Amino acid sequence: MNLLARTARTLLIGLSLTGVYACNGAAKHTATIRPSYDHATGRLKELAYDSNGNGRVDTWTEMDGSRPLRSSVDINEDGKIDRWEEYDENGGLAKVGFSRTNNGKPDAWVFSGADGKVRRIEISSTGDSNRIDRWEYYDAAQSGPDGRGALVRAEEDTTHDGRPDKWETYEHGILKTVAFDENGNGRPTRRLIYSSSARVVIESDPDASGRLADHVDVR
Amino acid sequence: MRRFLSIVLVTVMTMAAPLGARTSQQDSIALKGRAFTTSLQAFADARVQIRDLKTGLLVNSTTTNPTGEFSFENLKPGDYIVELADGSGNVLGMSAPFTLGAARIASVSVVAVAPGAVTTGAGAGFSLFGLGPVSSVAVLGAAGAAAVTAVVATRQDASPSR
Repeated sequence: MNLLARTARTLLIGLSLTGVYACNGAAKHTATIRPSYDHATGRLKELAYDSNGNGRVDTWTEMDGSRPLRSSVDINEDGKIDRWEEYDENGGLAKVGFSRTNNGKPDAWVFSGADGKVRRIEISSTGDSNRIDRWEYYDAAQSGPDGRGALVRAEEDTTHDGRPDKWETYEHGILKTVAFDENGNGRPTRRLIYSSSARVVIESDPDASGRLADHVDVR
Repeated sequence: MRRFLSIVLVTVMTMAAPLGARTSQQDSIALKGRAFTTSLQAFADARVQIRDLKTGLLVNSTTTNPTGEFSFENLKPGDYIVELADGSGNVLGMSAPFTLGAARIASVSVVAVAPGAVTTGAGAGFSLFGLGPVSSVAVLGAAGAAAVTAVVATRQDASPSR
């Protein structure tokens, strides 16, 4: 992009921000958004935003010109980031990170479909996005908490060897089956089926034949 | 193999023990553990139950203390699983299957996984703060600087629920 175009875009953004400032000045908000520009290129590189107008910035969005890259949000303003948003090349929301323990580090990442509803949540028990050890899958057609849809199945790598060894299925948000791979061959060797609160069927593969042959039915 | 070793160890200990002590030693395995919510906080006042994987029967149940701790006494050697359950008996989470053998004291931790556990435990669960609409900043990228107004609007509507 040539210098003229860069300058025009920067001016446009600057004027728009001024407009926002002016419009919101009549309301409670003042200095709602604070842009930062790259000194060398003039490109917008960050927007710092006070979402609730209390004078404290709680949202920081890293920008590449007019394209948002990622945001960090301190929703409860306790000094620790508790929401991380990442955007795709079209500026759409690619994933949202959360800290389950509220320690300022993301350990769960939410992926949504085109309708904005949750399709998958990836969780790392170690807080390392490269070492996901639980995958939860949601059905947007079913209702669940927080607009998540309903959890329909999950896989977990409890031994941290990179392969799932625990499989769960859900109906209407209630756990129906859980299967375990107890010898590390990638196949379930034991499965518990919860039919109701009082009935459990346990299937097992004691001879590692690959078939869950034995079963106990408890009512 | 582990199960085999456990059985061997239990057998050795049983044979070495005097006849009178045999039953009490076999029945004296204690299991201690902690229960966690989906947000890895202590799961207080949660129902914990231990299930014999051979018979499928629930052996015992208890309730966690304020720090999520629980314990079971007088367990026999065998294969078990510990489950977290809600008031209706729906399972909210479970340990991996484990074998109790020669050790007199064993420990296990259980993390709730089912969505029902999100609102059950004290301070449990993480909120998505309305995932879909909060992609407000993304509007900026698509529509350019004029969309900054939209950022302001949606953020004002976002109400932290934590």
